[in-house]
Amino acid sequence: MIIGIDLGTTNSAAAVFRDGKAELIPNSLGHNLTPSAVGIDDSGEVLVGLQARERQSTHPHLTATAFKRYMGAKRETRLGDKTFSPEALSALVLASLKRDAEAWLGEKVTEAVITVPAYFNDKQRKATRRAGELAGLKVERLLNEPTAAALAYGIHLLDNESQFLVFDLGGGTFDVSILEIFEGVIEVRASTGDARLGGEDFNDLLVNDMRYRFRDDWKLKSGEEDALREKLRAAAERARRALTHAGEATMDLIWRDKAYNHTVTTESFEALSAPLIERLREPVLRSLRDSQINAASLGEIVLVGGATRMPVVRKAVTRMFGRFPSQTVHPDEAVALGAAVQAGLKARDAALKEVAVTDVCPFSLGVATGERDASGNVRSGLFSPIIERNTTVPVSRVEILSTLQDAQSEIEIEIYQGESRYVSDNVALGKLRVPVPRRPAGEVFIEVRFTYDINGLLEVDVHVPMTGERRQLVIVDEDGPSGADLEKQRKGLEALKVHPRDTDASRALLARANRAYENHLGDVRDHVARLISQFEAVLDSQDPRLVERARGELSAHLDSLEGETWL
Amino acid sequence: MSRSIWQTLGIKRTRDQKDIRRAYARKLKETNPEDDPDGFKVLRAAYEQALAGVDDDTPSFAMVIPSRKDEVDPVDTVPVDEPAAPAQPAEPDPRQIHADLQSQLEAVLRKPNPDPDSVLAAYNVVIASPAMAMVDIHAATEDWLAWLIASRSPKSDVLIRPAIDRFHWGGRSLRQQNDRDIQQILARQRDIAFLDETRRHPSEHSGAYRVLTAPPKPITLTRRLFSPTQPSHIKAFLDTLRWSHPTAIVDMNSDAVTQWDGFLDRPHLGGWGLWVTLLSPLSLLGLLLSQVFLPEEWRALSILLGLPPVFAAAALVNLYGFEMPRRFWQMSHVYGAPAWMRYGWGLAILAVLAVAALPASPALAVIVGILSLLVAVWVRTTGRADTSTGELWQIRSLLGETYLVGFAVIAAFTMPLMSTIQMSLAVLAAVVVSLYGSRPMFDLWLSLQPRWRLASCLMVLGLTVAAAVLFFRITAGFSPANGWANPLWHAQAVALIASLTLLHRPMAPMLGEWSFRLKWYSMMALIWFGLNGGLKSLFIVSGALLLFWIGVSMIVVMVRDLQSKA
Repeated sequence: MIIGIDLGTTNSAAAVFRDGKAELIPNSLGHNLTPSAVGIDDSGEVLVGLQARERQSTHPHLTATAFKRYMGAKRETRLGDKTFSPEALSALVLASLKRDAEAWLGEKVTEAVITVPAYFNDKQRKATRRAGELAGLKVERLLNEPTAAALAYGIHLLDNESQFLVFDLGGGTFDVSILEIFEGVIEVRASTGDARLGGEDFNDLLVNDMRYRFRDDWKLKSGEEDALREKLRAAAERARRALTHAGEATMDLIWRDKAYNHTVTTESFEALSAPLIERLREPVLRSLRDSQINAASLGEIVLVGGATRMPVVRKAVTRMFGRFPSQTVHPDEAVALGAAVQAGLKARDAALKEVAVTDVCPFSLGVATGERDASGNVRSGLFSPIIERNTTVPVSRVEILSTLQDAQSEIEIEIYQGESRYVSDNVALGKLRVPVPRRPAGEVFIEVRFTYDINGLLEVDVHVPMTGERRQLVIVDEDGPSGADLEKQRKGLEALKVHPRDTDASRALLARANRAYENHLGDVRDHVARLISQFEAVLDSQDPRLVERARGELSAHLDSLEGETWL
Repeated sequence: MSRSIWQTLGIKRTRDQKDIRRAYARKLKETNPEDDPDGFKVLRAAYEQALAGVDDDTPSFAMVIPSRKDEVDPVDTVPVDEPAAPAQPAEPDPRQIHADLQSQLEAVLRKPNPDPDSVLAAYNVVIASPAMAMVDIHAATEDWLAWLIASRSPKSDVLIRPAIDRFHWGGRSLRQQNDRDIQQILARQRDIAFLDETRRHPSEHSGAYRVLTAPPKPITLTRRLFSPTQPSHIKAFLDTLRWSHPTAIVDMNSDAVTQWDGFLDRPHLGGWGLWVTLLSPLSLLGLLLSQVFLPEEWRALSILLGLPPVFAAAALVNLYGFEMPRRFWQMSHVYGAPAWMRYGWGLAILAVLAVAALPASPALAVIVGILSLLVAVWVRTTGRADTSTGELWQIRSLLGETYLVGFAVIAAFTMPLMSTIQMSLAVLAAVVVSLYGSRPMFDLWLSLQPRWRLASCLMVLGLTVAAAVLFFRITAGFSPANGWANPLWHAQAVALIASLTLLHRPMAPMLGEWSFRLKWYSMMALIWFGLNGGLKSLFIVSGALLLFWIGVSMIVVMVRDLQSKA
């Protein structure tokens, strides 16, 4: 069975394609979304999902979130006495989704389609693939998130010709894709984005705003920074969600046993987020240009990603296109559903026989070159794209390069990804050297062939026709671990003790209650403390039915206190 | 492989987009990118090629600037299904207002001398219009502004900075649409910044900038005498403008630019050349008078007065002997000249070599000297300096020349006056040939078939061996008994070696590091011999070393050439 997994910055989800449609897989708590959070509890056991997320503000040093932002970077997160790479943390989330899927489907799951932001570069894609392997999943495909969302949306529209735009603002990344459907073909025409823009940035705005207001009260000692930031972040997240329905929201915070609150109105939030909203426009414009599709002929504007729930984002989209966006897909679930559709395609599901999907390479790939100006000086460090962005993949392109110096004995090919004219502003992917015969400048030619496959992995071939020399480079992540290392890491992760699934719900609730305790003062705090000790007493009884009932009660109490659940 | 795109798509040749797309969709389900990536690549290429030939009556991309005429308003051609944004339903159409604002800005820029402030104001109104929130209007306006600014320069210069900031054109990112206008604007902005910098801060270009922005003044002799460096500064500034800041040329005074271009186009005596030429009659007169009036013991010093005439002669020889023929050549023959004109001097060098090997006589020495000079003029006229390989290479070849000149100087110390002149001509020829001749000869050599390349190397090697035999026969004749008795033989040996040095030059770029090292090892050996063995042994050893490394370098070149072929 191949499952589709949306590995998100804030939340992840899994789905499966069966009986002709995609279905979400609920986790052990019965939720469709699993927060992308990993924690270590006091006994050193690993917590994944809601139970980890709930402990974030109470145990900031033992909880990791938003690690997707560091995928592909060398960055170790320390939780308790263990350190984790972003891949390992993602692998723990993937493994938890895998367990949920196995429990729900009743069969073993070994393969998955995992989604990545369209703007993820080669390194980040490789890291995601490694995370899948660490979790014991064979990654059948890496699918671009907006493409996945479009699949979920477009799979019902195959009979008509249509063009639509997917506006995907997630927790940490922003992607825009323009798609066209004709004759059963779902074709991505253009895909662009901003890899550093998402819901978390809107949280940061509120966090900074509140910190600025109380800057004199909060003189921090060292080591307190993380704790305050996590509390503020959680408060900001709640306020931002509240603003979806109400005209104003309050950020409540207990810090050093003192209550602080900060009111945010829709207007003040709009003013704060104006610079971020401004950044939404450029990718939209670029994708329209690249796809050569006119804004007015777009059938629908499809909003995907939790952050598009914010009225301020919806308003901006409405202004940009002069009409209201579509409400037909569930912004949090579309990507996972689309991944499941792709998994169905991969498994050649009978219901998808007449469907073909093509995707694009969302960034330009090329080499560093130099040129000689008329006065004979060499300008180097220029970027010559070989595969232009938004070319349909898989694709191979050849570029002919020639020598720049007389009697040059070797050509070094540096491979870059990006849209800047100068390689210094682009992402370096690797380099390759090839010997050439010594001849005057410009007389030696080499052919550089770029092959970009459907998973977004690049292969570079160099051929020197004069000598018949050939060199090949599959861009390998130099920082990434080798096969043996990977196996060792996988063993290490397997050895970690993960809480049994059946206690997940209770743990999550207990963590939430503890957070509620910290977030309130006086009588309310005492009340929560009483609730917690009652609940713990029931847990000790280990009677499943009693526990179930107590959980319902405690959860209702907390709801009445906090107004809404986290998810 | 050679299936036509139509075969790949499985349809007959057509220009109907619908048919092509249907065929592609049908094939795509058989050849999908998942299972058959290579088949898909072929299919996709065929599809894109077929689409490129489609009759396109409906522009697929209506966001580009609809019109380049001033009268038509860009947003009119953008079809809209659901018009106004829900925010302002009852007000007049914001698209129409936006269009009016755009034509106002165009109107301001149509004036002959618009006031920068009013241009900026009109621009700001366009940018602030509410319709800019819509992506299609935004995109159309951006393209329109790029075109407007690029085509109305320099009237629109005031808009460059704000527009670059507003639309992030300076983000240096590659764009596909309308890239040319934006490139032009960015280039213009760089050029304006460069001129600004030149105006504000004193630099090497400041003087030239002042001269070229003012109305032209005649370039008189006094001016050339008292600002001797001005022409070269102006040339450098004009070159910088033309190569790096092409739009800035329009900001100069066009008459002044024409005047200086005309002046710089012809070779002239530089400022110092003019000075020595004017002063040399005076100093000759001084030399004469000093012979009469100065006391005996001071007369030796008066030889210094002879220097200006020598320099003046050198400057005039350079101007009329080298520069003028070269200019004449460049004006008429550069591209159409037959090969013997461009490369024939290579054979001429061989001829000089053959003549130099004849039995020695005073007449022959003069002939060899004159022939060498003629070859030098020929090379200087038709060859080109090797500037393309970077400064390092030039420095290296210069060091090589230094060595050659050193050899000549040593020889001159050991010879009578007559031979010195003749040999100086040979050395002058050597320097000129290696500066101007090595590049074209290298190109020529590389264009040869590999076996002819090999043959030419073998030939030089053979000549080197022959020269070595000759050289040692001559130097063996030196003995305490006859001393330096046969200076003509001596001069001939020098001419021989100098010519050989030139002959191996074409292949020298292949050597790179090697020739450089060899020359320097020889140099060190020479210094050692010079300190220990006196002038005579120095002469013999230096000649032998020169021959030795010419031979070695030929072997290295041949081996390298064979290797790179294998």
